Amino acid sequence: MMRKLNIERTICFVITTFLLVGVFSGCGSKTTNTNNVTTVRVWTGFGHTKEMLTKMCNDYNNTIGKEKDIRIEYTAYGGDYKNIYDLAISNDQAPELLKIPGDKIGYVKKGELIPITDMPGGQEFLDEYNMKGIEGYNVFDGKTYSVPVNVTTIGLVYNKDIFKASGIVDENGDALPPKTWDEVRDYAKRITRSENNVYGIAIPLKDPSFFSSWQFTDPFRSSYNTIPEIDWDNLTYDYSNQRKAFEWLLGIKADKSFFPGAESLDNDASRAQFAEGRIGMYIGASWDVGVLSSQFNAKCDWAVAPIPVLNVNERYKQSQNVADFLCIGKSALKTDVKKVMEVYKWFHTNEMWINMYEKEKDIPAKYEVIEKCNASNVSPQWKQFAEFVSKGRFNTLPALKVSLEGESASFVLLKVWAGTISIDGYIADVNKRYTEALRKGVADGSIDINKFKRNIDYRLYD
Amino acid sequence: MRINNTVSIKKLISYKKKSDYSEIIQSYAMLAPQILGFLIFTIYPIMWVYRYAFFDYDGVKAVYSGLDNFVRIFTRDKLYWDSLTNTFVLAFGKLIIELPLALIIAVFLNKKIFGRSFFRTMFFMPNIVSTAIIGLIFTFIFSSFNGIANNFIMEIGIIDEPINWFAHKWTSMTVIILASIWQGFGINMLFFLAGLQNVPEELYEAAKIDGATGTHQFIHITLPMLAPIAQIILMLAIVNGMKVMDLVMVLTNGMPAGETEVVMLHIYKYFFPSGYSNPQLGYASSMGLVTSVIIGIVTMMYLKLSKKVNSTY
Repeated sequence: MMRKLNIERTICFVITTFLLVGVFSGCGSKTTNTNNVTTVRVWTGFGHTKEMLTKMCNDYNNTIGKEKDIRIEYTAYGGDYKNIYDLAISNDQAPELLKIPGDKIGYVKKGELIPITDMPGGQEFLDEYNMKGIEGYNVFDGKTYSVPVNVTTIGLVYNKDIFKASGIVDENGDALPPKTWDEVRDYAKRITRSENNVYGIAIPLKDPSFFSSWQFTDPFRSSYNTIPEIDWDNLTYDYSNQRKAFEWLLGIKADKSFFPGAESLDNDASRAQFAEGRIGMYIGASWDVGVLSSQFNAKCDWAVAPIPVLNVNERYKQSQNVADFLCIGKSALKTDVKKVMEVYKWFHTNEMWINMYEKEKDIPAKYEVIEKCNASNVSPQWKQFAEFVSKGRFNTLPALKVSLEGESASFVLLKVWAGTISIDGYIADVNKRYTEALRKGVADGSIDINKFKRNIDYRLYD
Repeated sequence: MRINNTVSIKKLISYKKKSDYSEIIQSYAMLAPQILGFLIFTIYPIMWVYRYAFFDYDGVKAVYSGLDNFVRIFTRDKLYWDSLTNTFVLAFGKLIIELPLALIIAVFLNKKIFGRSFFRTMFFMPNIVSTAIIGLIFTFIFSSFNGIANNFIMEIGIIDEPINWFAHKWTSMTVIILASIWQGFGINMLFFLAGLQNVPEELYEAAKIDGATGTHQFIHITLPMLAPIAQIILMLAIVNGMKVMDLVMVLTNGMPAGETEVVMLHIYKYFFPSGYSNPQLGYASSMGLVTSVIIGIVTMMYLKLSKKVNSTY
């Protein structure tokens, strides 16, 4: 019996030891400086540039890094990146440089990020970089935490084969993309032949917030100065300039010229059907170049046209979303800050973003950088999306987020599509609720209207 | 001799007490990780939610708001109650089909039929398939474009044009219910099977001798004997049905126009809003608290109403 007891105790001890090892194994070391080589950890959530950046970092480590005693440890995480970063913060293991997952404001307020100007040579870097920051996006209380580096542009993606087969061509016989929304509706009707499984346009409504922003509201901004109109003096929202957009959308529905099952169609499925040659056109973004060449290999000849407008004589700048790349984490202060800044600058050199463009990974936010790129091996569609940079306006305003009661405007949009609410009903409902939320936010101090008041003319001058 | 026996008994008792303490310590040591995990990953989040239910919290700043959130739920948030109604419709709508189906299949698979192990495995398989995959499968089956369901129904001549299943509330709910039944009936079938195997064979033999038919045996022996386990199965099914979220999110995301939104999805959208809205963690927490109370009341009512089931046999 004693022997049995000893065996049980031994087993218990071994299991407990394993469990404790598992529990404490997460407590790893932080930054490492070995033999004067400073390791700078860089985290992002970008899968599309993982291979390229990993190789570039390895090359850096074997060349410049050896001379300067710097080693870049680059990691690209997947969909759980935000959770991993939040966990790293709580364990004091956050990296020195990182792309912030989501909004930066929370991390700025918690003191997790360092303004660039607090780093050695930071102000000089900003002066040389010479690109305005966006208050509320990468600038908070006058301090710059990152710089805009790349841009996502939108355009009308169209199937040239279907256009030609439907007789929508110019005098040279090339596919003729529509210039106005009326033409989009007309061409969609002409293209649609349901017996042949060909439809004019894709309306992917399954993710209403994605559709309403990227594929509905943003495109129609080319026809208006801004949507919605916000009267900052009276603190009121006005969505009435979306009326024509809704009339167009309901016209498409009445014509039945959209790919069937719009309510259950998401963006991936619609792009897959476009790649199969079943859809004439859709509102796409620059990331579709990679999608239609690798993820869903397009079986058709396709191109990109500027976003249509309501009136050809009144065109405003096209929406495009600018994005930053890396921010500096507070753990940079625990290591050699000069070397961290060296790495930060390296990631923001023109050469880095020329490389990104030439490999069709990202479009640089500065048009003068695009002009320096060697576009000979770049696909025509990528070039077409990049051309919009010179004709666009940054849509990345400070995120005016309101604490809304009830559904967001994008969900109410679906009710207009479903016919359960009229356009007038939509406008009245969202105007009322968004106005109430805006006034409440201003009253309780959570919204600083000075950050959002704009008086910018977005008209596009040729 | 007696003294030696007493001494050895005392030694044995002393040894046994030490051994008991040692076993107790070992037992708690082995349970500790599980209990710790339960406290950290279950109790603490529940307390967190209950605390923030009384705050206006956007993830950055928390301002005490007292009962404001609850006033909003009961006076201004019609969508919450609509989503709760949808939840009840889904939960009970699928039970009406799922449980009888599981029971009937369990009765058949309890008999000695050829391939019963194969069928038991196959019917249980949907339960282990990822909800995201199930959502995708049913989206394709009921797709307006080349969907199998539409093609089949058109082929047999019931309709001329494909049905847009996800364009209307009740067709969308039908798809969700069918997907949910397909996913869940296997585990209920196993529960019933376990219950059936505890029914004494002698009862059936005696009934046969008395001239009872198969139907009589099912109604007067099988059902009463299964009543206690059926009570548990039904309670679990109701509670799980009311907590459904992932399947609805993958299949319809509350579409069309939020008409198939269930209460957990409604709450989720306040925790993780899309678009230009702030997260409203405080309000979402208060909805979570109210929902948990409602589920608790439903469960208690059910247990009270089904109390007599335990005294059936």
